[in-house]
Amino acid sequence: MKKVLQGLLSAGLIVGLLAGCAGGSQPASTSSAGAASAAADGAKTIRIAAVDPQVPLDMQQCTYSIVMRITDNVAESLVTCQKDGTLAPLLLEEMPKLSDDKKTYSFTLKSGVKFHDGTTLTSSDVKYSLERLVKEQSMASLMKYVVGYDAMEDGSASELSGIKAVDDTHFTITLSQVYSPFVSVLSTPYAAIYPKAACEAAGKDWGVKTLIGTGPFKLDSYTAGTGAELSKFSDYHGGDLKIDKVSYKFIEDPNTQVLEYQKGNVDFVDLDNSLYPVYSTNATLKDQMHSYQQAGGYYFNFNVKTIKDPKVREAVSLAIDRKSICDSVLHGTASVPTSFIPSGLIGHDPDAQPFAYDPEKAKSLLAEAGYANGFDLRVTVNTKLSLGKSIATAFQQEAKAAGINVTVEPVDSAAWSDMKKNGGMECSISNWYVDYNDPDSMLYPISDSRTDTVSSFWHNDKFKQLMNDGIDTDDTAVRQKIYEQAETILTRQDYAIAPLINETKFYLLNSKVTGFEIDSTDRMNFTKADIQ
Amino acid sequence: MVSYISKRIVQTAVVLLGISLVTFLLLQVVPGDPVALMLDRRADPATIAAVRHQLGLDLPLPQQYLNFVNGVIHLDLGNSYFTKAPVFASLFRAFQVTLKLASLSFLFAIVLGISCGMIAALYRGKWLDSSLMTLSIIGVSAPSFWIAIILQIIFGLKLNLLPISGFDTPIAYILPSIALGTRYAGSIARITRTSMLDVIKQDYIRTARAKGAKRRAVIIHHALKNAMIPIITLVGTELGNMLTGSMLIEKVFSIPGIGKLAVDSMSNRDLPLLEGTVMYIALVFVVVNLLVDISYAFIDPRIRYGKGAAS
Repeated sequence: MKKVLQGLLSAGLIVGLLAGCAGGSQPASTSSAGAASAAADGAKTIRIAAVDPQVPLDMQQCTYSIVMRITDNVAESLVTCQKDGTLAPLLLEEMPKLSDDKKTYSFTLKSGVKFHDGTTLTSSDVKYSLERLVKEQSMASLMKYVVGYDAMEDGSASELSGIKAVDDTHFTITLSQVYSPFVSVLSTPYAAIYPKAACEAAGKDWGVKTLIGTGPFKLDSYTAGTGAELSKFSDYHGGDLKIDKVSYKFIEDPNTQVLEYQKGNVDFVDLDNSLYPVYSTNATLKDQMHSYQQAGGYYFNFNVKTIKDPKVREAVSLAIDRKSICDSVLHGTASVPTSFIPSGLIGHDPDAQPFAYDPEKAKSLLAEAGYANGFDLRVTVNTKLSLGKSIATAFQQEAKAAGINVTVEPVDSAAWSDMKKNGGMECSISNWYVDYNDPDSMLYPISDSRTDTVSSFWHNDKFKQLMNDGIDTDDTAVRQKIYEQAETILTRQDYAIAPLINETKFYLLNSKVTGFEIDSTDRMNFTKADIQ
Repeated sequence: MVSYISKRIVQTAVVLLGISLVTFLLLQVVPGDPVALMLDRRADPATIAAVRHQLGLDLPLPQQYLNFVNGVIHLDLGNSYFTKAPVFASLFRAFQVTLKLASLSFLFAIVLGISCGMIAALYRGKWLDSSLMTLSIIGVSAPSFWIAIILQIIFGLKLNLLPISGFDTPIAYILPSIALGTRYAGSIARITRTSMLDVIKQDYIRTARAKGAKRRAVIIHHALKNAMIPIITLVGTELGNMLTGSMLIEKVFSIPGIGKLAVDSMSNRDLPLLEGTVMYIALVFVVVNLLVDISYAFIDPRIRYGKGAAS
């Protein structure tokens, strides 16, 4: 027993020593925000607090925005979307030329663009990457209108016959029908261009141990549970960079992320909207808080198989006090939408009025629909979307004024996906943001002509025709009218969905970091970033 | 003893097989299609069907289960649907992290818990006893994530003594270990005190003192040793809990351990990883319980297993 006691005391001593030596070994540089961005070797490093994606860093396989936050500065697409929403060539000499029948695009690659492994970008890399997008399946439908897509999908062909490499820097893409957003689609991170040889050689390690692109930064390491390290690519085709490294530190908990920011251990952190009141009044942090508007928002999605009468769906829409939700749940950081198509996209009507709150009219509509004694509504929310649960709970109270008895049903992501597919939802709270700057990106999930990922099961011949008309022309004025009509059918006539709020996203950024950009599709860019 | 251990190992295999079957069946019943979740945004029925075929999820259920069991026998738990990494490698990586965290928390809990429990028993009814037991109640009652946040703010941010998050340096182990170990220290202190008080009342303690043995020797050699059986039972269960991870502590401190792996695999319906994690948790509990049972025989010579054991 003496040995046991000695063991206990020794163990206590070890713990004590570990605790005792803690103070001395912590670097002093972590004590104040802004001091730690430049490392001891003089390298300028921007440190980002991020959530561990836990999946390969490859947007063709895993379409999570947390993956995109890392890969966007490593792999590039042929074109890029600028701040004003217009497209610009990135790996191209100029924007692609369109044939007279508007089905064939001719591309000229920038000459001498290097991948991180030193090889030169060629047309065959482009063909390989876009075909890989189809093979990886997750976002394959982006190439749906490229000739040969169907054959590749059903396994009867191994390549997209519509993509033809003319020589090393010239290639053409032919579509099976006119699809005006196609160039915009090529700006998405899913259409990233990879070096064929390296990607094939890496196999399953692509995005795990290896990720090579033409972007401003190279992926040095990606360690599950710890972080990812990027370093400056000296042969970057876009010119010299001011930042030497970008370091992603994986921190799961939003509060811990902010504590690390306050301690000066990270330079960028996303702020949860629920934390807004805490930090907007913090004397030190409020000046380091920035915001941006993501193109998209939250909406109620009705299953028209169970809520068949449009009057009932309209009544539910009228029972939502959106202003109150913006003020209470989102602390005034969100706005009441006037349309499902967000501002800045073709089809958004600048003169549209905000969706009305009128519980009395909702009551009378319910009475007309045969629910004079009240209507029971089950609202399903994904527990992953904490904001969805808060909105549903607020609506539960508001809806009583219209005679709607709301039951909130929280489910996890897996059950959510299952219920969506199987029609198990009556009404759900979803969010949707555009992948590319076009109304097609906002509306395609709603249209049964493309996919039935949403649980609405709604079909409207006129809407479907408008969706096809919208991609069949590149005349902006004509498209504006088409999508305005589609929006009206969707949200003010059939009420297949009811837009809820457009939220503002917040982040904290070290005041010494300049030139950092984040756009409305949530894409981060460090090309012009610097540390003062 | 050898025959007893052999018997328990065979039982362990049967238990693990049963758990794997129950887990497999439950996962078929719980709503949630991993493929729909994987493909997420643009998943159309044809794509979902193609991926289900690739993953072998369109095979008959008995065939899927037999494939899994066959994999386990060959130490191949398959690949995660989401990370694409081998399940065995993911489990081993998370286990290494959890083992470090659990060992340090365990050390912290038993050193603090047994010391405080002994002192409280020896000073029964005195202010020291009341203070220590009050602290132990706080330790048992306070949620571990709350303790974690308080520790982060005080020692990480305000005093700048320790890292706020991460688990990559020895110094980073301290706050999570304390946050996780506090609750266990509280419960160990309370059971140590109770057990010691029971033993101290016994005749043989009085006899030892009457024979002139020193107080310290009596406490260590006679009282504590005989009070160890209930303490070891509790400590064994708690070690099992620690080794199966703590989702909250791991989340707050960004520690890539078993707890986080288990929760993520469940929320993703990542079947191979989930099966692997459940098997691991079951294995830990079975092994820890076996070790606890065996340790009884070493602590108390009257306890015997196998041939010659009292029936």
